[in-house]
Amino acid sequence: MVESLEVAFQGSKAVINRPLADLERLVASDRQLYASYYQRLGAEVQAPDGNAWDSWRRMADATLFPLFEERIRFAALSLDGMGLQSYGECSLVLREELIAHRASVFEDNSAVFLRDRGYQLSPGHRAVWEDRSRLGVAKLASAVHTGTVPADFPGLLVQQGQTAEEDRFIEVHIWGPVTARTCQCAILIPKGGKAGQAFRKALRARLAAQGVELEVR
Amino acid sequence: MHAVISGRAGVALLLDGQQLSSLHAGAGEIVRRKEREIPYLLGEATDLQYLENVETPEISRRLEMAAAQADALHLALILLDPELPQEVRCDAAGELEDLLKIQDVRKDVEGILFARPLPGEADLRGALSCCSGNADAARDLLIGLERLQTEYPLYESEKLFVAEGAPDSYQAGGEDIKNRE
Repeated sequence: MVESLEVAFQGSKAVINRPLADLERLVASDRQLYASYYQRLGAEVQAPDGNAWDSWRRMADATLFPLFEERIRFAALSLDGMGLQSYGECSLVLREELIAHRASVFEDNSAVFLRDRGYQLSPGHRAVWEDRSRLGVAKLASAVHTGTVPADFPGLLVQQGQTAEEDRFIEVHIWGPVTARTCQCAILIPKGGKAGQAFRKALRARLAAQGVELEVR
Repeated sequence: MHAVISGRAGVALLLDGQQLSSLHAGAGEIVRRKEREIPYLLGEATDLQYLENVETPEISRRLEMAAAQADALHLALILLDPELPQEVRCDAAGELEDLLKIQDVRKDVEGILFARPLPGEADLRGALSCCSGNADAARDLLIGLERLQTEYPLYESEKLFVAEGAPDSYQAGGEDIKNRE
């Protein structure tokens, strides 16, 4: 079964979750970019958390991406296209061919992981994109037992918490720009509001114009 | 209790003492939150309303109204977008019609759309053709918008008359209006 897990993880995708309004802005034109956290802060379109997370995030990023943290976009590794709902109801599944050469993976939420285990990182918690299945097996093989079936794998890889801090996942780090065209598909879980058909049809049409499929679950 | 409402995000953040929670449009459930979740709940929304010393029913009412206003504006923009398929624009006209029957929604949408000339790419004629026989409120909104497009240059010239210390702008603006006539 562990071998099945490794094979399944070889097909895993990087998924970014954002609120619906952010997706609508991203698909509004070809010139819209998905900015990194630090770029949003620098452009003053987003305020910092204003709590301990600011320092945990900065310390983790300074450890993992010294002097290039502002170029990094974060995603989660997923088998079924569903990302972390704490970050928004839209899961953007990225095209592997457009990110594989500039992505790496980390065992968990790096801010939480390094806060809890210290900032002297030992080998074995991080891998290049091509080795993501090995990292996944190293992390999750102990969670596989005789009753585990392949249908359980997506839930092992992405464990939705009550809050973002409680989410358990493999973090993907992507260097450089992301646009709507970097996405293969968008998966939407409606939260209420904007339930009308016109919104979805308009979103579907705008995504299709940029080669992106929309799936509503 | 204090609250921050965004119709665009369809969410209200509630602060009761030190307790943070959220309420979503179209859903009555209140969800406990942590501070760091705020950016992900509001996204890039800038239409924030700050309410002080209010109770949950009032917050819920204001949220539903703000969400309806944001949805109506979004539908109007879909209706005016020539790059979207006709079928989608016609659906938008039908849904907009329902929302415009709410008086405060109509006033809010007009307040935004009527404030400035439409950009050149907006397709008013196409939008009007998408309004079916019973989409009277949506059609009225578009007709009002169309009428204003011819009146904006007059408003602009009046604004230039009252502008202080800008003779160059006035001259340039005046010539521009003259050329358009």
